[in-house]
Amino acid sequence: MNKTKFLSVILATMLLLSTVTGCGSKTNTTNGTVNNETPPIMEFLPNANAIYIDDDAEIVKMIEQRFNIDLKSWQLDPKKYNEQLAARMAGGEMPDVVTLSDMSLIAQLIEGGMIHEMPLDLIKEKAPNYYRITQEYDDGSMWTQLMFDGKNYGMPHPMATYPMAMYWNKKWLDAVGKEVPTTLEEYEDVLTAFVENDPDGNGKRDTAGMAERSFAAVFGAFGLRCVTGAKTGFKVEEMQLGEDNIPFFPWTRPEAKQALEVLRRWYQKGILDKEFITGENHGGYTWLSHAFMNGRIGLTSAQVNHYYAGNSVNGPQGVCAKEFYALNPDGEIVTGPAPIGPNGKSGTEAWAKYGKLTFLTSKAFEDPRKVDAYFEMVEAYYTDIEYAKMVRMGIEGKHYEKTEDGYKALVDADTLRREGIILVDCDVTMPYTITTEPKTIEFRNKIAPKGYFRFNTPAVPEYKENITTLDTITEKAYTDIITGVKPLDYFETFVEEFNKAGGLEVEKAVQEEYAKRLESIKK
Amino acid sequence: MIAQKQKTKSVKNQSKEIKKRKPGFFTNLYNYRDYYIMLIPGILFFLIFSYGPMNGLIIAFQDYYPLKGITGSNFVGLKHFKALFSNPFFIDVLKNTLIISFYKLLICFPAPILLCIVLNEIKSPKFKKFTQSVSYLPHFVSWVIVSGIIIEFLSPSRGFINIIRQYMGLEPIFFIADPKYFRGVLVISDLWKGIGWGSIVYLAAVTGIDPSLYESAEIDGAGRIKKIIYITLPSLIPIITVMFIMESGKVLNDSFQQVYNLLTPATYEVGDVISTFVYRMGIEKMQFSFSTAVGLFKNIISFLLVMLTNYIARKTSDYALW
Repeated sequence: MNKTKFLSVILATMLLLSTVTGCGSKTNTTNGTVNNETPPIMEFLPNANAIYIDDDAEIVKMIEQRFNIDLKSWQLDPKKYNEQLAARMAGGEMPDVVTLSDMSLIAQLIEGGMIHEMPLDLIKEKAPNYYRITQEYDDGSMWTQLMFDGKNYGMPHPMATYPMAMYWNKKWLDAVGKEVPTTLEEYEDVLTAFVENDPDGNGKRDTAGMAERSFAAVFGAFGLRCVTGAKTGFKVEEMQLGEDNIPFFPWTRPEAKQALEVLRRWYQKGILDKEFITGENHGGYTWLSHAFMNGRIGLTSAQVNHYYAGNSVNGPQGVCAKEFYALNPDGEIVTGPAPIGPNGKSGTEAWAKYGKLTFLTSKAFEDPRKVDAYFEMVEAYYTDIEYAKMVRMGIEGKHYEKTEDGYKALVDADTLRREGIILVDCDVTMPYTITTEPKTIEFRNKIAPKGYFRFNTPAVPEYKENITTLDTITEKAYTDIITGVKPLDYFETFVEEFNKAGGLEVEKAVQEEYAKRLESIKK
Repeated sequence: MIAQKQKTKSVKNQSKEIKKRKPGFFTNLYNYRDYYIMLIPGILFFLIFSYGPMNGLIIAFQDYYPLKGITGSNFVGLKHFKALFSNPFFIDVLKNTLIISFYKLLICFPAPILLCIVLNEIKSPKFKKFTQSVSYLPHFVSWVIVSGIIIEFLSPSRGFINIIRQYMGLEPIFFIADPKYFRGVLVISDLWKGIGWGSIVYLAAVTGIDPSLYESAEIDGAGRIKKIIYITLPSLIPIITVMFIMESGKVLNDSFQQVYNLLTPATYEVGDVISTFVYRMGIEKMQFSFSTAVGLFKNIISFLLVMLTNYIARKTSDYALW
């Protein structure tokens, strides 16, 4: 064997070895071994925006001592949250506590065996105060969303949520000499004036009344929760919970045709900005309405805190208001009620009342100390307000300060997260907000109109299989009817198509599943 | 001595002849062992990173959950393929994908070749470099941003195209929301974004052309056009063929980012393509099995298309891939 031959063999072997070892080495996953002397490692996966915590931070230490655990956090890139979670799950890793607000993942995580059953009796026994306090906010649907096959899988938290408010351009209202309207008819009157009477006074007919963000209020005037969400297009996947506590698709109801008739007429009259198809938002922060800021439309809809960050109209401005006043220094925004329909109904879109859900994984249940620790944490959050404030906002004077307009953060959210804040909390629950910021609740309830709260649809197999098709059918039909591509009577054809494509089947399956869950709670 | 030499020579010749007649597999392996050893890492690479993961295709036939793993998940046969093919929108979506890809192939494929030829004819090196750089730039801007720019440019109230139309006394057109124009917007924006980048490979091929060919053509009295037709283009044919074969494999792999960012419900009927459709199907998120099934379907079609184009190329020219 000569030198070159020898070298080539060596090289080849080295390459070979490196590939083999590269595949063989596997990072060991952290494992909470049952050892009575050292506190168990408890890994928290918060909802998106996760960050690794600093083990030496004051609050981390405090939490670890109080509950006798070794606190750790998971970090996932919020933009690739689902992929990364799936990849780590596939690699056999699991956190102990999971917080979710994206309902669509839950069924997968339960069926995949990651989330462990959490019997109601166990909750009542280990967290009696949590159970008692949350009962006050339960409208009967709270526990249904975590029921699968008659078993409960997690803890819902009643959140301080408010319906979307309606924002008017006050200068335009003054220019056309109108007051903030209340009924649907008055709405039409004012919005028509916005189109016809040149509210911006530039001598051109270049203004419209409203765009897609205010659609939900028009449907709301007919008693329906047909929402468009942050992205353009309709969110057909969101079913509505009727007053009789039975879920249904609002999209195919006869009242929807009435609402479409209004929107269609408004489109023809120019009240609806033609460009609602590409959306009020032209990039940047989702809830900014560029059409509203740039004086294209005179009415928009968004959360109260997007415009008023504090607890009064004169308090600090929210994200959207800041941008609005930067562009319109002498402008003015006023809020008003949602339009009242012919049958006295009204309301805007609101997020689910129980939008925050926490779960324990099968890994956590392997060590009873972790289960106990978690229930203690929840109990503390609901009963010990000083603790709750500390894990939610940090230490007064260091992380936040109290002002007249409520609490003001002194450091950015990432710093808070790094120090173990906003990790083991249960978010801005109703009990928490009522105790810490009663003025804010009062103010927001005053600004926000009546709302239709989101119903977390149980994801039965029929729903999963058909919902995208139903979504596509509805989006097409609704857009075409509003823009006049199809006649109004096309609505009947659409309903037929919708039902044939699985609409009826899905509705029935969801209703049955929901009834079953209600039944299993009673037991 | 001489006789002896001749004898050994003839023996050598004999053995050579025998070898030539029957180079057994293992003898061959032994004789060329160095080369084969050097081949091992390459083969291993493909086995481990390309063929190994193909095992995972089995999840297209399962209801796969990461925690249960491939062995623990239920086998459901063709369920996910049936769900795909039986969807009422599948035919429309497939049709849109094919039509849009065909338009792009028709317009966006030859465009970089033309750009390359035009660039090649520019005499001032500074101007040539400048034009090249400017034409590459859009490639580095993500579709999210490009889409935002396009929506602004084409807006009926704010877009400069419609403002110009209004000055000319024409009605503004809502290009993005009009089914008549939507595919055009897709093709033109793709052209704008990809033309410069796509021309690089052709420019590289052009630099490889022997200058003496041009010189002799000039002596024979050929003008610019003649030189392009008889020298530049024929020299580019091999690379054009190869690029075309590769491009034909992408017919079903539509540009998700582009379509998704420009698509609205008003243009679903002409613009909804396989990837956007699957994205919306994924509303249930983490649908590994369904996504794998769609991916498998797309890749089988792509593979067949590449084979077909290559077959045609082999029959009609000398420049096929294999």
